[in-house]
Amino acid sequence: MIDKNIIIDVLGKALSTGGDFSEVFIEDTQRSSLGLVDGKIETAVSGRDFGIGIRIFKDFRSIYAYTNDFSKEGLMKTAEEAALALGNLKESASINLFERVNKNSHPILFVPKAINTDKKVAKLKEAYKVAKEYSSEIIQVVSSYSDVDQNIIIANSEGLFTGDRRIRTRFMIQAIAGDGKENQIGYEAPGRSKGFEIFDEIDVIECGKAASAVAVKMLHAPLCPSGEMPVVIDNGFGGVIFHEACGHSLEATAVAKGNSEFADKLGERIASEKVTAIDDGTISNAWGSINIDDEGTPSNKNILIEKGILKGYMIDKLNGRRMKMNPTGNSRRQSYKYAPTSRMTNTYIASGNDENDHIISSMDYGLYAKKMGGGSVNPVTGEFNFAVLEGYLVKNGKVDTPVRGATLIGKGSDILLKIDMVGKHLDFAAGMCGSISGAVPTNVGQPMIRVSQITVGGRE
Amino acid sequence: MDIKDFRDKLFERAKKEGFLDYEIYYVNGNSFRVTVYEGEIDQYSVNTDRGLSFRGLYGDKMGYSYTEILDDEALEMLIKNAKENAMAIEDEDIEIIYEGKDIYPNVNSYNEELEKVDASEKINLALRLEKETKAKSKKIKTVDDCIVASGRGERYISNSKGLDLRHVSNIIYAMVSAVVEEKEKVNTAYSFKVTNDIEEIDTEKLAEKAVTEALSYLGAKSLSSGKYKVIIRNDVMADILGTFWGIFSAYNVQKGMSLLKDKSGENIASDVITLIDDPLLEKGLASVPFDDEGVAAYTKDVIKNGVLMTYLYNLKTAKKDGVKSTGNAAKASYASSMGTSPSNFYIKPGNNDLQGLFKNMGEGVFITEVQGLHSGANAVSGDFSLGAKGFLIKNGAVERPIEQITIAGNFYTLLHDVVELGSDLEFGIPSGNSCFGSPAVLIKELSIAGK
Repeated sequence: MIDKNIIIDVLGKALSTGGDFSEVFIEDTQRSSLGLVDGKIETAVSGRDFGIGIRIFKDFRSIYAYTNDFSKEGLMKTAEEAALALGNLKESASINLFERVNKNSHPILFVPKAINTDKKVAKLKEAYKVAKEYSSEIIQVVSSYSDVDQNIIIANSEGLFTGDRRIRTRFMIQAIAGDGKENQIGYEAPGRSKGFEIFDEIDVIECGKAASAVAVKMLHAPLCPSGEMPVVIDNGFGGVIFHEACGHSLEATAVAKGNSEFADKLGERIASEKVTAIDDGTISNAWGSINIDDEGTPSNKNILIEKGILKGYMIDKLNGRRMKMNPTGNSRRQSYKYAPTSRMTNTYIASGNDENDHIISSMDYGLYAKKMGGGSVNPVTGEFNFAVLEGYLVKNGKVDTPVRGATLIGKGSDILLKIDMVGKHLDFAAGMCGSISGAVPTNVGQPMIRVSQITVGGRE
Repeated sequence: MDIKDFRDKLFERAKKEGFLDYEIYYVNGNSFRVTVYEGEIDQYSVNTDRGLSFRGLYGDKMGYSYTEILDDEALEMLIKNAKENAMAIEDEDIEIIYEGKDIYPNVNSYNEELEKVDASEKINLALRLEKETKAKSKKIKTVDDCIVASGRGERYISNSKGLDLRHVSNIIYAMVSAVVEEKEKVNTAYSFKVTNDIEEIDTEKLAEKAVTEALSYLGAKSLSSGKYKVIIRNDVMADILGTFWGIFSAYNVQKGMSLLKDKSGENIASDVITLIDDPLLEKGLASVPFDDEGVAAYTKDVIKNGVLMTYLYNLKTAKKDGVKSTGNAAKASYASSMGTSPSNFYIKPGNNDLQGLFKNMGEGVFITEVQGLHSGANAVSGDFSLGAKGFLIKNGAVERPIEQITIAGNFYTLLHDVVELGSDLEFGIPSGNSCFGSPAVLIKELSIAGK
């Protein structure tokens, strides 16, 4: 994309004011998306993002600059401007680069570009048809297909010169049920680090049915009760509880400056002993997977919590300096427009020994949260929230009536200790996680779990 | 390649390839951001960026494509992709390339003085903000996210029908988050100021606001679940409005995704509510002379004394309803296809100050923070259930801080349940094409979940 000698000059220029580390991130990304509304393709957009990010460290300070101007003059000027934030210009540093080729754990069969638009459209229509015909109460179905083909090169003053290609495909369907007075929705949005072969694994017809089923069910469901109660959270997207209640607070971004309730707690018990939690960016073709992170560190399987004991954090280079710890392959960014920082990849609670039936029947009165939406957290205080999209009351150990969505809230350090049952069937679900380095694809996951007590934000 | 040269070459190719009408939408800008930590620069960034979106009518379908490089290869890619994308479109509602013979209002959202402010001045501003925040209280644990950022952005629209419009704006903002600690309990609060006049950033005031609020939460406890009268603070209500504005979009109405269908001229809110979309607002952070299709922007009441006056239209949705565009065409980013969004969108303030609202409420809950708006609120159903913080109000005065509660309700119902508005109109941080504002609102009843 850009001549290696220019990269060498840029890295050197970036260190001309006393910086001790410089890095270049070059991105060339092709994206395409299709949107189907009312059974017809309404939007079709495609294009190319291209830019270069230059980063410089001096001790704990970090300087970042990006540009779309990829001429040598443009790049040198950007490097100089960034460097000037650290002091006066002196001589450029001399840099040697050594190319590293990484193992590809996420092979792609069908590159998105090689697939005809018609085939992509056909998938959207198949799903639309079943979703729309599911019930006369389905008043609208919106679905979309999107793919990304991201090519990156990373080079730094330590001599690293490497790259990665990340191909991802995602399908989304949202069904809306309405009776003129009220609307309710259901949705499915699976994604993988795959090309068009994603549809060998993902059945769009099942997705369409599932989305409509939830929308119709929720239209007739009573409001959710409120207050503290035991809650069973199902597998797959249920893992959002760990992502919000704990995951973000284990990112070096929060930990390095002590702005996390889990800072300085390595080796201590922070969760019930049923909880083992892992961040694993190496899972083959998973939505949140990467071969290398956006600083070039190979992706890793990192144990965060083992049987309730805090074992590790997710660490990027800069925060690693402050923490005096090595990077863990978690430094990520949305694009060249963001400096990377520690983020999650595929984060999950590992399988336990409890049977699903037993978990449900253990509750006299509580909520069974079958489908979850997104959430958020304030890592400093640990206050988190996440949404239940499909819930059921449990009475006397049996699943009773469906109830409408509600948000669950708590404090991470408190809730992790209250996870008292963990099932056997681990599953994952795709999401986009937004934080200071932008929106990155992450998987959440878990088997069915029970939280002995959590605040349910219902309306009854 | 220079943008005008690129446009000329691109238009020539587009014509040759059989596009009937075509347009470029080009943005370019630069930005600056500094974060300080413990008296030193922590993160610093300077950026320039640009992006070009092309759209063209191929047959009667509009194809879109975009690029961030302006070279010959990109030119070919734009034409090829736009053509392919046009051929995929099946929607029968026709998108329009606008002639733009409007008379455009004068909107001044560019302050030349701001461009003269150099980096060191902005760094010093951030350092001062951190220092003053720290000095406010002995209970400060850390000062987090102490940021000063600025940016300049230009939007240029040019098409084959002769439209050629340019708008430049700039902005600076300062933000600080205070972390306070007492008896091992931690609380946070932040404050910010967005403007294009650096003189308006009062670091002392920002420090005071963040620290006072963070301290005021110390000792907060939950509350018994139940129905309560609620006052939602101005900035929080502005964020909620920003989550639900989509119900006013003509597109959502036409597609059945808003329950305001056929409600024009009807009471959809309490009669104290007047909701305004004002792209010409003096010092408005989303003020523009024209929308993203080049239609002249103008001020309108969306709700007047509780009555729905209009939806927000772009050219396509207006044509479908047989009305005129309200000048609300918007792209979510330069790369997106054409959608709709409000500009400065706010609830007109009432006459009473906050203390007055407390007195009128007597007993209830004052909500000062909500969390999870992106997940716990759904614009299609209007339902919301949000993590929240605030204060218990008794006998018209603050009794104690509250945390670990949720507020839940439905936005359509909430509009009807507004009893009184405060006089304290406040705008939030602008995002995309929009900036949302509201005074504090007193609401008859919301469900609160706690203990």
